Amino acid sequence: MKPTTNNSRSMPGGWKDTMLPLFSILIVLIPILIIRPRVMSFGGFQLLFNMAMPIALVTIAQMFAMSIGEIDFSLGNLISLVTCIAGTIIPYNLALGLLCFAGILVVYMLIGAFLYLRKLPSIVVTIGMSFIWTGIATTIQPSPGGNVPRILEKITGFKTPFIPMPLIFLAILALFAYLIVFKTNIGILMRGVGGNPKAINQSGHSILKTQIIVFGFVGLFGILGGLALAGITTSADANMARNYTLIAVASVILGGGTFAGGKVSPVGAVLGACTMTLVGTLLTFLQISPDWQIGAQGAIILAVLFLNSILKRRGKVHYV
Amino acid sequence: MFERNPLTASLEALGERKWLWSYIGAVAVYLVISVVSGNPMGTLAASITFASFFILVGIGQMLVITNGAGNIDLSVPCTLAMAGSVAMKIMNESNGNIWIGVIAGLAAGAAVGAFNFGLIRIMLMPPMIATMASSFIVKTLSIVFFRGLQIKPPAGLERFVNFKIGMVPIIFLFVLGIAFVMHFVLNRTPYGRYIHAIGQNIKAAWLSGINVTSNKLITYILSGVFASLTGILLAAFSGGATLDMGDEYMMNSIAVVVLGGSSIAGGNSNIPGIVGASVLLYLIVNLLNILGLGASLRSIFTGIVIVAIIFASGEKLRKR
Amino acid sequence: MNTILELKNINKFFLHSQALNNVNLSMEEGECLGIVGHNGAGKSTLVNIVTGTFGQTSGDFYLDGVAQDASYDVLAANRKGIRVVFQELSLCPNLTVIENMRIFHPSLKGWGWRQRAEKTIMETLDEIFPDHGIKPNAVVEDYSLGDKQIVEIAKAFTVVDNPLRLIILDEPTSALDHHRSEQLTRFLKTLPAKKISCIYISHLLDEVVACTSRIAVMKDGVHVAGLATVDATRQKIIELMGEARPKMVKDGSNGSDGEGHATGVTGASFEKVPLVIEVKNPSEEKRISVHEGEVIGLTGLAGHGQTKLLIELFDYKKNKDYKIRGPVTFIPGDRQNDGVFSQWSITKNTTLQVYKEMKGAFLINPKKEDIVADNWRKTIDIKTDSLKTNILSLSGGNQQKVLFARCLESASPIVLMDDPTRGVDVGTKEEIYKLIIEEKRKGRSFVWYTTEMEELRYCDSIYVFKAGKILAKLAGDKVTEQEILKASF
Repeated sequence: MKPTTNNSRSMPGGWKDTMLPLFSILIVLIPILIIRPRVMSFGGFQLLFNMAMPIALVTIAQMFAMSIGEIDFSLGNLISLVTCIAGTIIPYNLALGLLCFAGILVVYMLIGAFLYLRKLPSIVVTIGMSFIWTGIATTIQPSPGGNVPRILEKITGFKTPFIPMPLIFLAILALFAYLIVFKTNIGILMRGVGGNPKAINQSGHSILKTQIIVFGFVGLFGILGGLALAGITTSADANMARNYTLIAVASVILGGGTFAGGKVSPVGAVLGACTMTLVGTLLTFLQISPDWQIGAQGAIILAVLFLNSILKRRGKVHYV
Repeated sequence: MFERNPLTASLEALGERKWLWSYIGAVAVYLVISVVSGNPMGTLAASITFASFFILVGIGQMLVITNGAGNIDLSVPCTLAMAGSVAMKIMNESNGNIWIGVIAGLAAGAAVGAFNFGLIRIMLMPPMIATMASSFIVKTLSIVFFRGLQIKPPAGLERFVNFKIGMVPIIFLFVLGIAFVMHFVLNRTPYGRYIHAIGQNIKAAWLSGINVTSNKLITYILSGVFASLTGILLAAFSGGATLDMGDEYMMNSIAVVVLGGSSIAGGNSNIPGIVGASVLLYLIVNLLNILGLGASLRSIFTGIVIVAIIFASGEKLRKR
Repeated sequence: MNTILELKNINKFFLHSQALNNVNLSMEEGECLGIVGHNGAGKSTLVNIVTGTFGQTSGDFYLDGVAQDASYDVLAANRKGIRVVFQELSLCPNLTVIENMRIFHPSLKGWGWRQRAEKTIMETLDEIFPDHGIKPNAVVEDYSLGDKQIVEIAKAFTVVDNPLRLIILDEPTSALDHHRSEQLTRFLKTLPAKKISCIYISHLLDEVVACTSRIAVMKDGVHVAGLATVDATRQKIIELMGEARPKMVKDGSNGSDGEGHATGVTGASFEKVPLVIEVKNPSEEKRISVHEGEVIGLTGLAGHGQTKLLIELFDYKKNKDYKIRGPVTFIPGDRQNDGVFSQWSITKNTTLQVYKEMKGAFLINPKKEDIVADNWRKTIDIKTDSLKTNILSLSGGNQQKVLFARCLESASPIVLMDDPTRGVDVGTKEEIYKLIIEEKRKGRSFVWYTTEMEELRYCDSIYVFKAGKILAKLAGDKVTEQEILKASF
């Protein structure tokens, strides 16, 4: 007797997860190409997907947090801080700067540990952290500027033949994240914790260790995102990326992730990040004034999340 | 049989009354300030004036948080700024328009609150996402309609807001009165009881016949109203509304809720705590200013306070 | 033959109830023991002790002749080769079959673990369910409930390092169709030869007879009878399940039901009395009707649809299947999750549904509140020094009384009760029964889901649930426990 399956998906994070965000990119990309056919070139694609790099990195960071059912509301503030460290501390003293990054990683791992040990709500803890990050950022860099090291600029502006570098980078990032999530032990444990923490516990695995490592990844990819942003904008700005938190969440959801944890799709998340980046570009090309852009972004995020909840048709009990 | 050490007994009683801590803290900080500052009395008057604004947003935020874990209103800063602008624009510097301006501002806040709840209930968004996304939209509307408009408040309103009875600012008395009323609303009205029930155990609340939806809707609307009231008063006090005048209130609203002893998991509220915590928080801000430590440090400090208190009030994870 | 498991004089007390009463049980290696019993028989408690989830209150528990002490926990049980398959899934739904193996067997790591895991689970699946069609890299969630269950079952039989010695199956076929159940039965028969022991718990008595070599019948925490399966018939088992024994309760009083096997459902006639709950289109699932002043009992095995019906009736405004007259109030049985507001005082917990009565101009009058709460304290004897203390200061039974007070104070003519005397001491139970009878006389109607047979004697008629359907409506004072058991199993 053959098993009855709900859908033909047999690969985790498989093709169905990738269809939707791929489809979404096309929905946004095609109007862009229609409005500005010139974009369809090496240079055009380079520019289009440039900003997708930091956004994708932050999205992956958020994806790790959401995979175990938590969320990081300080990511936007964190990457702004990282640009400030890159622009202010690193040029002055590289070792100190690296020490700062190490410190951030340690803080993240502690957060991961204590969220579990003390049953703390990640929303409020990370909101608190967001004020701390911003405060530190404005202390070391009160106004935008700074002296972002040239090497960062060179790395993010690296030119590759045939295929624009950002696309290569995004592909590598997606692959790397995919390998971590689906091919490593910690990836299995992480998804297990998100799916059925009781079962993980009962089999003798340590949820605490998993939380610590996963939040270490959140911090790591957040830092990388900040460095990428610094390299691209060559600016250290404490307030630059505050919107990124929500954009990252939307990208993860667009890519097939959920708030409850357990379901993650790194490839989908990266594609989602690209979509959200293109949305910004599309809004500009549609000549929607910058004033309306942030509101439009908010509306689009809402639309994405809403569509997602309809499509997933979650049967949760709602007393609301 | 030994007699209870009066010191231990009073410390125990203190431990149960969390809100008392903030008053003690406030007194302590004030003593420090009076040593350091040149004008202790004036500082006190200014402090409780500014603390009044913290109290108002704190009450609104507390109402939302009381509704249970996960409920939070991140649209406070934008609603505050927008309502202030709306009110100033309608008042148009004329005393005759004060009331209609106030009503318009409050209505705008209520509308945002209702919109937030709509997103939560109908579009099934988690509150943190819903309110953050809606803040993007509100911000855009504010920018579009009010950018560059620098309308001064009507003279009568400005006088009221700055009026002092002896040394006591009338605005503080006004806000204290509102706090007093809300205290009774929360403890002695069906609505107040219902939201406490919902915050403690939403399923039990539903099974007790409580209409969870309508009570939550009222709460989010009230949060919007409190934020907008703050915005109107703040605009009158500062000589006009600006688009970023609400920015600091995000962290302050959460900080005074947490510092005042309300549980972040919901189900209990603490108006006296909000009052004490607001005064304490502003006094600390003031002290930091006097000592020459700027806004950045304030941000870091507020974040640390939030994280520390949540950490301290977390439950220990029980094994098995 | 090796005695793999022995329980000697095992008692397990929970606060006010006794879950296991002087249970003596032993198992030989390679035996398949069936455990049957009605609600509250103690089957789950027994399983939990054997699997190390918690320990016994008194008595000795031996594995392979070695007494187990307080350090015996779930991990220790696993190491000793004891596994359990519950009804609730222990798989991670978002992981693949192979990844679930990795979670279940932490020692499956290092180079090539995937191939090893795949080999093990596929071989086991092939052995138990030859035509399973499960793909090793498929995500568990994508499979139907039945397929998830066969993966769950197979996983429990996979051996990586620790050998499997005892497998406990708790209602394993509830999600399986006939074909799969037969495959499982056939497989279980091969276990004795492999020296693997098995405990099989099921309410499907025919299955129990098919798989096991011995059957233990439990009732109310007592191991009432044991018989060889060859001697067992469905009828005989049901008879044995009805064997009454006096219940020993912690305070020493003897709680026997006194009336032998009959429950004595009143069967009073309500022909002339108006209906408060009327079914629109009677069917197998929907047949309840309730008159004014009537007490309806819902029984059958726990979790067969009774609570679901109560919740549907509670949501009376949205209920399309029944015409329900008047507001409805709900007394929960799971105090902690469904009823008690743990940050509130006793007074506040009592007055939640009646603010209209206690309001002054706008505000709730605290004096009126105190009077209402105090009246109830006197009426149902809530044992406390002050009503202003937190509700958790009360014993479980008294907390339940507060929930009764809360609901009965309201004006609702219909009272739904979801096994409300769960974990409540005998004394309190009696007081609650008195209360129900009183209220019934005042014209209130009750729909009462209970897992205790004795409580049905307070009902006017009862509906027996099985698998979400109502199999029987029983009324009259000749209704016996045997009839109820027959309908439930």
